[in-house]
Amino acid sequence: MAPPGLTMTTPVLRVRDLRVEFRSNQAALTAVNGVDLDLDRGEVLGLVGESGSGKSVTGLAMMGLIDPPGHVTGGSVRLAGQELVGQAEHELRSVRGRRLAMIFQDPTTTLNPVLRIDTQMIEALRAHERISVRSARRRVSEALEKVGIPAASERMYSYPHQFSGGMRQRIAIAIALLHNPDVLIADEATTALDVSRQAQVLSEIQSLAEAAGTAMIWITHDLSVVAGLADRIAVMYAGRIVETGRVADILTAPAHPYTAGLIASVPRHDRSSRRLAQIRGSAPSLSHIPPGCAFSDRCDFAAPACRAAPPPTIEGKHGRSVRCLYPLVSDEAHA
Amino acid sequence: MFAYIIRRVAQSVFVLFSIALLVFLAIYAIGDPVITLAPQDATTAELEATARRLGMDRPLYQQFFIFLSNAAQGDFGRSFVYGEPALNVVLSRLPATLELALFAAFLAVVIGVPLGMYAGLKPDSAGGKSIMLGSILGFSLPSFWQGLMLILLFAVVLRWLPAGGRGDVGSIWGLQSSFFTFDGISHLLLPALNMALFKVALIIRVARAATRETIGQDFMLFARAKGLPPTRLVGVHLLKNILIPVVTVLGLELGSLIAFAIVTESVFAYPGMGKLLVDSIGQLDRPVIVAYLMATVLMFVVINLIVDLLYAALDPRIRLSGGEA
Amino acid sequence: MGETRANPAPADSGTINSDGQSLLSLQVAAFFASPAATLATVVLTLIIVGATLAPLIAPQHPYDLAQLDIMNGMLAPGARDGDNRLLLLGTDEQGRDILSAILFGLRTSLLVGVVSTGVACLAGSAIGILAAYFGGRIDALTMRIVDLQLSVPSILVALVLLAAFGRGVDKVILALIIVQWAYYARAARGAALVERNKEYIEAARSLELSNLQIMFTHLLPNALPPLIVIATAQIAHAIALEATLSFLGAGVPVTEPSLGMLIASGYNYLLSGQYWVSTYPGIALVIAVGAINLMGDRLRDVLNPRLAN
Repeated sequence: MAPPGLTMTTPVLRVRDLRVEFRSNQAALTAVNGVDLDLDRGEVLGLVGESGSGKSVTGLAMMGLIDPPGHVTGGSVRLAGQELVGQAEHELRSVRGRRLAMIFQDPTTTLNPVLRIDTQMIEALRAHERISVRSARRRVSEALEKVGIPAASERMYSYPHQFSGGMRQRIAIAIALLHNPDVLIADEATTALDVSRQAQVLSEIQSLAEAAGTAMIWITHDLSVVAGLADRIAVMYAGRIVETGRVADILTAPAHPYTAGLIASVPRHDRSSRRLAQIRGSAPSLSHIPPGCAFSDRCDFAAPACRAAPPPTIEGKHGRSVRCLYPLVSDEAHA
Repeated sequence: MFAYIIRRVAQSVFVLFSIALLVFLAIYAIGDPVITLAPQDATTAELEATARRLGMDRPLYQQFFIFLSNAAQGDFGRSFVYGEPALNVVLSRLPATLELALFAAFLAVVIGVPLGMYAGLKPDSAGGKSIMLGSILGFSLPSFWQGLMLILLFAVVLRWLPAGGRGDVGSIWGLQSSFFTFDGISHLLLPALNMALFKVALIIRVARAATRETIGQDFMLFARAKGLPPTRLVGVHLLKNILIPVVTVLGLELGSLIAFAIVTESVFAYPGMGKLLVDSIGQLDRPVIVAYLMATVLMFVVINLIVDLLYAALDPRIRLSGGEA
Repeated sequence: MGETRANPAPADSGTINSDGQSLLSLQVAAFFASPAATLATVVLTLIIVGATLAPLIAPQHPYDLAQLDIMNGMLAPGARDGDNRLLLLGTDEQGRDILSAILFGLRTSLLVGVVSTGVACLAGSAIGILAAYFGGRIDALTMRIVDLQLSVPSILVALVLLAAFGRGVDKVILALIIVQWAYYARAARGAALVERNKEYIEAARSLELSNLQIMFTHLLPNALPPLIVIATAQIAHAIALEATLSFLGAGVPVTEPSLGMLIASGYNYLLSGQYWVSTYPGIALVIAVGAINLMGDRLRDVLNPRLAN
């Protein structure tokens, strides 16, 4: 998938120790607490976690779209070697939408209701390219056709509310892919669609991104969505990545008790007779994260040492890593 | 959309009918309508003519319909002061007042929307806070006194603008307006500013609230994620969304602008409908008062109708869904 | 700010218990947490004291013709009159001391503002609560009238009413009551509709209290916060409206003190640069109205009633 001249070993996106805090008068809450991520060219990474785990904030932080009271307080986001954290706004703007794009959960609210589709797409083109309105319009029409909007050259003059939710998400995807970005961050992009459409839109996005050579970070709370889509998975809990690895490795042999709990709670056809397992307790709020391992309160295997200090990251083969003192499987067992 | 228009027109007719009934009852409640609506020095023959015109020999409900049909034909009697049909006297002043109100509405938007947007985008900045404090104080400035202070500053001390009156009327394509001459605009500027300031505080609040609501929306985040420059985010995505509530509120307030022209026109000796009303009250020129009321209410109703249709035109969700929103 | 006002539970309706007391003191503390609101309260208190004590502290009785000397007419601020008394804010064409005239004028302003708002608030909320309580056609008809009234600007209604009534403080008050009642009727009805279906009203009904008793002991206290906020804004509005009507020559008669008329009498001198007759009474008016509006704005934040929009 990599364009010639670039080796697969250089990640297109490299995130190191990313930190985001939300400050109020009383306290600073850490929403993202030292996140490391690597994304290879053309790769699909599933970023999985419960709501409040910091996965959406991580996505916005990579885009440089954290607004006060939130602040990126440290770390590095490198897009093909170019540092984004701490860059001037106009530098970030030239990256956003061109090399790094993002789509959101609710397609009924991501498009401006009072602007026509063509307006919203042409402006996205002209934000990064010197291009006449006429040829921009042609590009828009092609982009819409590519995502499966029928009669695109006419329907592009419509307003968002004249399209169904699924169509609107396709339009958002068309906008995000206008410039063939290096990376597309999709935040729960199919969650709001009904189940029958989810799979269809999902596979369409996948093939479009593949064709454009775009790597994807697919943010979701739903493991089953990324199972068939992602190359690798990163599991996030209370602002930290607790486990990363190849999809097959993680799904068949989760190392972190939290990942294991997530997998056990996914409904599956082949074991529908069994009662779904639930992780006991609920995700901690940002203001009440336990010291030590954030998951220790809910973990069946927690020992006193887990509550003493945050566990270190244990690295394994094939980019596998886990943040747990007592991982469920030793790396050698399945490597 | 068509059904929507029909329903709105029916509502408007109901309001007109109700106001006509109130005005009618008021005339009859004050005393003998013949005495009320005839000049003080009227001869017996004139009084009889007035009585006939009003149908005084008929039952009350028939008199109301006579009043209505006279009103519908624009017949409110003759002005005691000008000796002309009262409605003509009122309507001859209409262009001056409309110019004033439209200019004021324009100034209110031009001043109020940017300030409101700024206060909404930077609510915690010193500038944003001063704008909001200023808007509370703006609510507190009585329009008539504010007008006097504008005269004192710009006409007496600085001598930049005339203190009052209406300027020359120019003509473009057969349309007569003081917008078309420099003198006309210089006379309009102070009174229009005075009336605009009266509404600026309100526009600021509406624009600020709408701004705060809009910037929290997903589509603004998505627009930023596209890499759009701030000028486009604020000038197109934000502005287009906040114009809907601003135009609605301003349209609803246009009626009140025309009514408050009473005050501004009196302060600036501006020969519009409002000053006419105050003069007529002073001179007990009752046919003119009645004609003014009915003409003004008709205008309110028509303006409200236009605002609703304009609102539908600005918001595609309403425009295209038949206005049931 | 925030949710300082808890949802009224069945227990705390009607009577003020210890819980209500602490809520009240919380609200008072929240109110004075704002420097602007505190300053406004102090200023308004000074204005009320000054206006009330005007006959005692004013250098002159400005509407007693025997005390006016035409020789002292149009003296500039800081000048001294024939008796060598300092005229802080100057005099008008009749030799009336502007400072004294302002103090007396504020009496009229406050009287008109408070009385008209008070009566309109009581009458309007009674009508609104009755409409909400009975519902059906009575409610629909009342609200039609309210909508109609609110669609016509207050200045127009007041002016036409006064054209019919003639001039006088009592007539101005009456006109302002008619102009204002609909605001309270709408707000009280809105609040009462919310409360009507709550459990404790049902409870009161099952105790077989009379309808009127239920309405005024249970609904009114809960409809109170929005009414207080509206009333504060309306007092300011009424004061400004009285001054405007008097300025236009339709309000208070010439023999009575009024800031609006004082400002009108300085109109002709303004153009020749003799600014003080129109300027100072206007500043007094703006300070009074502004202080009340600032307090009203803070009250809205503190009481946080989701005002009927």
